[in-house]
Amino acid sequence: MPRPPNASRQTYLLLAALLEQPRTWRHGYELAKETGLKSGTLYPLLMRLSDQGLLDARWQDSDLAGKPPRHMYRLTAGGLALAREQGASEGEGLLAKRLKVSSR
Amino acid sequence: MTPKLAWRRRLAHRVLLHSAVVFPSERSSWAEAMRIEARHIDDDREALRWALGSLYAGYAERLRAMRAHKMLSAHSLAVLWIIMFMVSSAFNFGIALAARLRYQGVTSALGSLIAGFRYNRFVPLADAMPRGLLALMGMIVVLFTVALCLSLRRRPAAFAAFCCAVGLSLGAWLYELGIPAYVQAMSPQHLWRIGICFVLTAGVLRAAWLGVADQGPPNRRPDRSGP
Repeated sequence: MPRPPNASRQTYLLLAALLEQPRTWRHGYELAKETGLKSGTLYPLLMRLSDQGLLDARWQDSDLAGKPPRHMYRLTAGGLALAREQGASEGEGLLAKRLKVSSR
Repeated sequence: MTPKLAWRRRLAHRVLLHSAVVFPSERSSWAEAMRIEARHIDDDREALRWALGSLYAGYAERLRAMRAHKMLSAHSLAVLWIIMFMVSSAFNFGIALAARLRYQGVTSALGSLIAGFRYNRFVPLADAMPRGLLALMGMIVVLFTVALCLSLRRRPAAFAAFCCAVGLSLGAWLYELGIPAYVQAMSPQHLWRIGICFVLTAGVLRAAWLGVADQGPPNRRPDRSGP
């Protein structure tokens, strides 16, 4: 069976985190906290997903006064389909495991 | 008056500025995104960690952009291979000539670069070496140098020059093996290494030849003799 694209554990985690609130725009720090990924791992993944047309990115004004606009992310229709098809079961398991560990 | 930032925050700021430079230009918006995101992190320690991650991502992206496979192209590997042969043949010629001319200082200095070199064993070899062989070694050095120059200019003739030089050095080496003093002077490991080097080169040349054959006949040069 061919290896699916974006098959790393970290990508599954990220896809699962993005899939939790598929309509909501999320910022990088929030995703990093949720997945436990370091920024140096998270952003290259976001870049790859964006290059592949699986992720939408946009600048959004911050709710906090005096803070600059933030880069926000959410899955595209293609990204959603891929996340549901490949990443969901694997990623949700990993995410659940991570949440369990961080809540201890 | 602006409040004085903690050292971690200041360092994070500097690291983020540096990583913005490191990121390839096509990724500059992502570098900016990471930089701004750090400003939304309240904890200084966390912000510094974020900045270091940004730096890591910047270098990773920069390396990716450099496309390692281009750096290790067949051409650059071929150039390295030719340089290796050229240096090796120049060294052999130089040490043999120095020993022959009784330049003891030069011979010992060059010999000290070879592990297990024994000067007293090498001198009889240099004496036993026919003049023709010495001239041949000199010609091999010249041929490798020509091959290198042509290769750097990406001239197809480099391949022929290199093949000639390798063929001649193989011939010279086989001839040297017939000289008892040579076999005595060189350790068996050294002889094995030379043999393996020739086998590897033959493999590389064969692969290069097959690669050329797979591509079919070379394209004709555009006709420049037109009006």
